[in-house]
Amino acid sequence: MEIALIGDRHTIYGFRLAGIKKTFLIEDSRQEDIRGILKDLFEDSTALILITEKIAAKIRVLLEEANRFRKGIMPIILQIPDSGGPLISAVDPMRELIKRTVGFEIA
Amino acid sequence: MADILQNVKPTRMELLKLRRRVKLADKGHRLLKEKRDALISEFMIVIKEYKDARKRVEENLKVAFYNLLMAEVLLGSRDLEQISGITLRDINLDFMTKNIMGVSVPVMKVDNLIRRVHERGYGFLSTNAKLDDAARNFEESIGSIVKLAEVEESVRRIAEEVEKTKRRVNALEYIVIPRLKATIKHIEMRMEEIERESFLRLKKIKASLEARKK
Repeated sequence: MEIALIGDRHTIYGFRLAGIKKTFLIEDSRQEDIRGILKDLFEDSTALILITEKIAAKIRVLLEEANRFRKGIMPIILQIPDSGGPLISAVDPMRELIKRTVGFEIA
Repeated sequence: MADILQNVKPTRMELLKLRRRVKLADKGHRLLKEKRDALISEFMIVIKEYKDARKRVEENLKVAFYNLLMAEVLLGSRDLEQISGITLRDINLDFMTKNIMGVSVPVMKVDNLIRRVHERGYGFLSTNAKLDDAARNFEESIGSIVKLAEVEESVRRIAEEVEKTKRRVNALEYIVIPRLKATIKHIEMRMEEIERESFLRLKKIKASLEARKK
């Protein structure tokens, strides 16, 4: 099964050097284009979709929709830092998840 | 006081049936609570793994992007773009699932991730060592990224299950069981009432019989 990458120019160069074939360059693309890409990826045998945090931040609604649309356990969408390093967001979704699940924060 | 169940007749049969239901609900409640606690302890373990995996990915990518930048500086953007187009291959990702406390979580594996320099497909004449480093770093990053994806998805799935179980535990504890117990109490009181009524009726009959005898 395959790995796909949705990212900016530099992220794509890097991962292509490592051999990832399915890369989609997103620079000022419209939401609809990304939706189309995600739809195609959901339909073929892609197991893991990597997406840079910056792009993911712009299409949060779309990603939530995609996660609901997903039937089985595949594909997994993972956000990765791009060349600018990890984004520091005001609300860390994982931290929120932990808080909600366990009931308190763990360091 | 909790609501009582509707449409329940105050009979002994119903009472016995309700008592059985409470017993079952109690048992279910206890089991679900145990499941919840077990899931949470599992959750703590994957959270720890998640944090380590995230850190590793961030560190790997930081080095990788730095080397990529260096390679770009030495080669120029256009050459880098061309070279990145010829190193493609099929990366085979093995995708399986594992079962943790009834939650299926992914297990992924990639073989032959790190290639030798001559296996990448670009020429040595027009490239430099920084490019080799960058390619190697990105290959290593994919390994840690796959691990992170696996762990992150596990965290998410287990969290989902914990919430579901919590909701069930609470529904039993605060709604179902109190309601059943209230209904039992209600029936018991009604039956006592009926008993008292008939006792009183007997007394009255007895009194009137004796009055007639005299």
